[in-house]
Amino acid sequence: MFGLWYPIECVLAPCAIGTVMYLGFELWDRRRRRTRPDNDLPVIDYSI
Amino acid sequence: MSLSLIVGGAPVPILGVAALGVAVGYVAGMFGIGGGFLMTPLLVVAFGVPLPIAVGTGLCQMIGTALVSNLRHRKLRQGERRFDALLLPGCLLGVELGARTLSLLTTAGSLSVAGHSLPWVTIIVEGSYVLLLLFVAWNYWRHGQGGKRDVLNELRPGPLSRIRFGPALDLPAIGLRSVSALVIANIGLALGFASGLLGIGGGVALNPVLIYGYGLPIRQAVGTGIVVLFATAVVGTFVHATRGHVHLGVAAVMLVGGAVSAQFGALASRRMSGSTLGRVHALVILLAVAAVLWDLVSELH
Repeated sequence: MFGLWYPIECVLAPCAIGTVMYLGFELWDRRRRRTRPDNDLPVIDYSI
Repeated sequence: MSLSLIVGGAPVPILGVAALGVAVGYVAGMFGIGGGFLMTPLLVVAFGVPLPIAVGTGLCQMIGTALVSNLRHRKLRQGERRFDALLLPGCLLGVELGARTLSLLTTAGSLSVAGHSLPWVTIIVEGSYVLLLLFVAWNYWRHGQGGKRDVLNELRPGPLSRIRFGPALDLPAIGLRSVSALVIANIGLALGFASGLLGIGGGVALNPVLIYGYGLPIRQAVGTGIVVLFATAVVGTFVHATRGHVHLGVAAVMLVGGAVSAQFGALASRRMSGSTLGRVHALVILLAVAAVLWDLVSELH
């Protein structure tokens, strides 16, 4: 009914957003560790 | 210019969806979770989003959060990949069954209650949310009693790990031996069904099974099943999108807002003790239960 392109888009778009966000968090995490080496960012189980 | 998204034929304010994503994300980050099981019912209650679209959209948003979780946990090398491999086929089948069941329920008509008609899909899905959220709240309240968190950091083989049924295998990464493969596969089926029907990530159901059913330490439980949860979200989103039950704009707004605020929530949680966190978590979930019950009662009137 909705063709295949829209479902594929619905899967790829959040993957792309998630990847960009992950890279952003990693950058932020590394900058934080330079000033606070003993204070790691907590890891969140986003999947729940 | 109207800052609204059209969802199911009705306008939904973008700022409102973003605020919901940020609020749930902050709270979820504070407790170290993703919050998918809160966002989906709150989309229905706060914005009147039709249930099937809230379920499908919630799963779509979950792809992004599950991917970030996978990437972050990958470095920690936690969890058992064989467990994931056994869960996966049942999960994928269950998601399709759950999505079909949801579609069937939307055409199942209504039940007459006190002279008012309440759609079956609302009764079953929102009723399931209430039961699930109460179960989660009870677990977090128990954690908040203190003394139990240290126990949950050790392996304590649970009742499910002792079932001898069908082919068995060892799970060396988590220290369990002769675990029934069929039981794990059926857990995957149930998990996938819950995801397809309710739009939850399954983690809210999977983690108690791993921690209390198999006795895994918390860190191993969190690392196990992460790949499966991502796969379930992908398949669930695809299946729901083919039925027109996914709004990509709403999912994207919630994903960005929620993932950013979750980091701040996680940082804020460092100022709270474990027992306080557990109890506050339980209270927040009870607020969500109250909101869903309010919505159910409102539909009656």
